Amino acid sequence: MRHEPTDDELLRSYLLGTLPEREADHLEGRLLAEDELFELSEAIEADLLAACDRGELAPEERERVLRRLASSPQGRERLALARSLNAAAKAPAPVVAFPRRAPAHSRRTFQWAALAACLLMTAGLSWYALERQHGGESSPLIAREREAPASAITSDVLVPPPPSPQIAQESHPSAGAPKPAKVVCQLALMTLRGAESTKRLTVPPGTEVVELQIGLEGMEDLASFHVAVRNPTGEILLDKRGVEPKTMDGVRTLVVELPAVRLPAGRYEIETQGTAPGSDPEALSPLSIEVVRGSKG
Amino acid sequence: MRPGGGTPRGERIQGLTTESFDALLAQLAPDRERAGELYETIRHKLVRLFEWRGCASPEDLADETINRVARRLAEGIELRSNDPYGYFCGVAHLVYKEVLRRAAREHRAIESGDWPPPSSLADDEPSDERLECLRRCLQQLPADQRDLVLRYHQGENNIRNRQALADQMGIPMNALRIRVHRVRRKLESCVHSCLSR
Repeated sequence: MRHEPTDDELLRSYLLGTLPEREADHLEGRLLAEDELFELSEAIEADLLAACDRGELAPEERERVLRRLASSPQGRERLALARSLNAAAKAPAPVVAFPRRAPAHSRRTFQWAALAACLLMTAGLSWYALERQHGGESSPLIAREREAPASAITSDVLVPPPPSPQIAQESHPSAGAPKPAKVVCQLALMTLRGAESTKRLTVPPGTEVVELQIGLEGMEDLASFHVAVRNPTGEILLDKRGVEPKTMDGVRTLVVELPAVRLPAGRYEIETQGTAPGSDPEALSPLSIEVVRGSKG
Repeated sequence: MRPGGGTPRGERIQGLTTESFDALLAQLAPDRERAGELYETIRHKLVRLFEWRGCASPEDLADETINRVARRLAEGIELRSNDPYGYFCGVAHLVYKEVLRRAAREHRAIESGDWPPPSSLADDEPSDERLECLRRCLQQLPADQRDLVLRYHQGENNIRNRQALADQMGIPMNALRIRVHRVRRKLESCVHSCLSR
């Protein structure tokens, strides 16, 4: 049976100049018409330059890469960037390693962070009342619950700060607050999927609304989103198209709400697609939350 | 927007009348701003296609292609709405073949272009200045993007490394490539401006 080359195989051959003329012509037609394929071609070009620098190519391929992709001034710039990135990725500092399991002290930090996040989520009822007093904008007092990155912690990884006495004080439910009680769960796309990617969300009794806030850092090109939430049995609870991000604390964020009554304890999957103007929708990394029902008292 | 001035990159368009330029934009999209964006995208893609073909002056060839398309449109040819790029592609191939024939006539190898031979490029080390700029630019990235691009470029077991990364993120390998490339584009532009200072 004849193996049909995949797009990345075709592009690699095209960039190396080994694709037959007719196929190259056809591929170029697609490259003009398909933005994603064009982007993939530029990505594979950069991969070839990086592989060339690392000495991973056969001599003939290396020669082709240097001649075809790295001989123009722009090509040299790209090769220089690939070399610098290879060098930076090799260097011990300030490069961040990417272990699936964080080192012991980092894990402790995350355990603490998870505890802090859970406390904050539990305190969400009165927090919402406070938020409403701010006109619906996120209060700067609220720590952000983020997807735990599967990377070693650096100083600029977002870790919730210790809850200040001010938060603790304001977290008590205020008597007679008439607003529907809401719990907010903050998540972030573009983080790695792994054991840490399921976010635990405690929903206290009396909660009426669960608000999902999904951070979109690094996706500035995507303008409109499709968000779907599935319950543990796979049933779609929410299927919202055309969601446009809001800017919250300087971060583009998708905000969707679900009635808390539709979220019994269990694991929920959140699927997101983003669309850049003039492009097809792009599936983004799935997220999940584990809903835990808080007990009274 | 007009040929010879203003946006998009009108100053690059030589030998193109206002009528033919307007005809081009009108065929690309009814909205002039959108048409301008499409024009920029098509031009960028044509430049890269000529580069990937090994042509020495990809920008000139892209402009020549666009000029010819625009002139034909001004004469009344219509782009097929289901494949407006097909016509650009066909004209680009003609332009490329002319370049090949000209190069053959001049006994010049097109692949080497007008640039110095690649042997001098093969083993250059990145300069300290460039590395320093890259480090600064990396620090400006959100942590997850920085980690992603560095992990992607780690040398040992590179292929397995990337597959593991794609698996962790729950996305196909090509989606990972594109995602990393978007970060790399930001770095490219940041390093470029850092070095220009």
